[in-house]
Amino acid sequence: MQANPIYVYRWARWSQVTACAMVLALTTGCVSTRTSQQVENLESIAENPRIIMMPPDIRYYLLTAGGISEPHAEWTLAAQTNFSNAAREFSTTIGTDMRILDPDDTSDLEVEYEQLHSAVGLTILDHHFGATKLPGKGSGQVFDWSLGPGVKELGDKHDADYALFVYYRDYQASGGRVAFAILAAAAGSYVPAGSEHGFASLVDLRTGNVVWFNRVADGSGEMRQEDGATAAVKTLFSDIPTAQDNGTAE
Amino acid sequence: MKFVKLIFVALGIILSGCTTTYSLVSPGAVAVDSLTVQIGSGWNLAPSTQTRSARSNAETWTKDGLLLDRLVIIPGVADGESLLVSRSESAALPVFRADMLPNEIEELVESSMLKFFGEGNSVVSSEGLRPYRFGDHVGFMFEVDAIVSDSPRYRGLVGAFIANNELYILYYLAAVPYYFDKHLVEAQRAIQSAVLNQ
Amino acid sequence: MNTGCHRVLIATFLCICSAVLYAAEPEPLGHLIEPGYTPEDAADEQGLWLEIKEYERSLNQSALLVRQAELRNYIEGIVCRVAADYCNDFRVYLVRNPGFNASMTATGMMQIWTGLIVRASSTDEIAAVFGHEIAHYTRLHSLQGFRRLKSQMASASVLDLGLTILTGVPVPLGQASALLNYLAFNRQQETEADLLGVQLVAAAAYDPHASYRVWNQLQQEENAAAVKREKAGVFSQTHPNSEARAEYLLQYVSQEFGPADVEQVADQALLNILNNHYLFLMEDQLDTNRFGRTREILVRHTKLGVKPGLVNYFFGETYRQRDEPGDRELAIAAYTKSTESDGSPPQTFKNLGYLHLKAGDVPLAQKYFREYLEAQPDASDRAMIEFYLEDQES
Repeated sequence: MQANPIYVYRWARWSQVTACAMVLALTTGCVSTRTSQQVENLESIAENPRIIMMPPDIRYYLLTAGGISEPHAEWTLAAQTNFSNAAREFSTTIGTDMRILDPDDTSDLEVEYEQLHSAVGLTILDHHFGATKLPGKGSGQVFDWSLGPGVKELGDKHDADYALFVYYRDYQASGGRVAFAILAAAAGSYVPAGSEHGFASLVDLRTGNVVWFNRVADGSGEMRQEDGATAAVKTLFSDIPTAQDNGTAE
Repeated sequence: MKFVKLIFVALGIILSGCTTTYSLVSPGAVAVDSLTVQIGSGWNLAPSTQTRSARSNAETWTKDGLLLDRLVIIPGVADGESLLVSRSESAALPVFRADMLPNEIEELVESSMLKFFGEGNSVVSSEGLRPYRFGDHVGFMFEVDAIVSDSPRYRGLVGAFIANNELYILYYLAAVPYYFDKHLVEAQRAIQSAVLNQ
Repeated sequence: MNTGCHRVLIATFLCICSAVLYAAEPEPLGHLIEPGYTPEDAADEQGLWLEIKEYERSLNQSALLVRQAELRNYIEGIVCRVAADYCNDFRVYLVRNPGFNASMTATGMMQIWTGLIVRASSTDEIAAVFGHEIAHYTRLHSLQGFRRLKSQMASASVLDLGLTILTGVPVPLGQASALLNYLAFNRQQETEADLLGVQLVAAAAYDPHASYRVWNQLQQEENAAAVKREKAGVFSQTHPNSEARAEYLLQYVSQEFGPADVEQVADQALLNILNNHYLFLMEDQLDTNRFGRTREILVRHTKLGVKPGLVNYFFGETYRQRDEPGDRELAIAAYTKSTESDGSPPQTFKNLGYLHLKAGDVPLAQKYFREYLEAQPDASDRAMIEFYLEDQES
């Protein structure tokens, strides 16, 4: 019988992805946000465009001196709560109506699209913002990504025009880790002291097209504090298309 | 210090295989080793660093990215060889035998895909086995379905034939919903157009 | 003293320690927590719970989760009976995986692989495995392990750095072994879980002698494996080996509960489960391509009394896919036996057809192909079969 399978599972599944994402983050380095916006404005038959936010996939970890990522409940809960509140408030400033889906209230339909979106989001990170372009897709000059028209079912079920997916990982270096990083640097090794990466994408539920995608790396904002969360939301959602002529834009 | 840091980062990039180049496969007749396929529009040829379990003369093409769709062309698998490449001996990769019948090739593909996605991580099934003529060679086609944990579901279309005691196999594997259907017509045409160069 | 010498000493020390542990007279253990336990103030424990909760949510949505009611009820029934007062603390997830595994997290999430059901020869054996897992939970072993890892990792990475300075090459050795260490409950915890597990099993009116039979059978399967693992897998590295464990448990159980019953009565509950879901359960085992092990399991199922039509079909499949010299004849014999017995699936005819085709007997092959299409009119591979029925030359 295996002991707690969590870390093996996470390790196997995500180690490569995380390593890749981290290297990407490092190499494309200095720029802290990268956005792709495909539409001028959000549109809806309702008075305000209706957005559902899929359960935000936000995790905070403590990166210990030994390099283990320890899930930090308090930070994660704080970040999730602050983020949700800040996102809700932000949505009114851009003239939309946003609801956050309850993670315990999802069916196979939402799961199916969440899985597909992770694959699409990571692919966008890799091929649009990353160094490996697809020549047949305009080598990063063309942004053409979609979850397919089948998402309409999601839109009908939740009475929504757009779905917002958020993915964010924050590895906070502990004191020990920082010390270790300094020691390592002195010895000529490079050890990441801490990092964060994430992306947000807005999907038009009538077509399935990703109409807006934002890749976030360093310095986006400290979500464990309320004002930090507001700043983070602003950075994460910078240049998100707004509703037309609603007069309440910031 | 900064220079040393850059070296390590660069090494990290190279070793992690993150930065590599895809190249364009242009429409028309394309030779993949001893096979020729006809494609109606461009595909992206994946670099070998992105397809580590692939045989050396096999090619993997994609339209939207390997996580979403792939067209794999595996020419000339000899008796005793497996469809994939693995470093571990205890991986127990199934091998091709020249006297295999279509149902056994079907099982070979299922079994190989299972190893690819990870044992205990996925369930692969197939159906619809039917004969198909690839140029001068009578072969067959079938569909596959892969349920993979923590990942979208994948569906696939496989075409294969045996010639000169070697297996030639092409398959299209893509995520559902949406991506499988998106490129199915093109992929099917490509697979069905495969002929062995004389 | 150089590192090599160091390692040998440590290994010897550990060996002596574990020998002492097994030789010692074990005392009865109790639960460390009450039913309905939730973590209190420890931030790291809460963090662990959250991570596990996330994992559990994704598990609940996993496509590999078995939702079939009869299978789930069978497994959940056993868990609840062994857990007694703690029954409501657990959520049981039956996952489609042909390996032998059952695991328990600190939050009471139990993950059982279908490979466990395939390897049991009685419900009591399944109960014994669950008893062991439940004991890990009530003795808080997960949290202890996590904390141990944290402290080990910190020190291990200093070791890494040392090596880097010495060799100029970053070597993450310390990390890998520390992680492995965490995966294992340590030997003491495993022993605790074994003992407490046996007590739970007996208290739930299951046969405590089943506890060592599981390990004996696993060892038999390992012996029958055609392709041995290159190095011991994670399971073997982190648990006492099956033989040692079986011996120790036999001693303990005999002392506490007297000798085993000579008569072994067929377990109807398990038999029903196997008979009703055999194709589903055994397909995955067959797909592992590990023929020695599969054969061993099939032999056990024959003795158990699973429908011969089903078992012989899988014997046929095993020989056919292994395809060593003489296997085709063995496969034909097994399939034929299956068609003459209770429970034979339609595809038996098809595979007989294919084998006779390979042997060059076209008329006989076609006879079986026709029988297949009759038994399965909606066969998805009808086109292929009809091709062979028309093609007189193949």
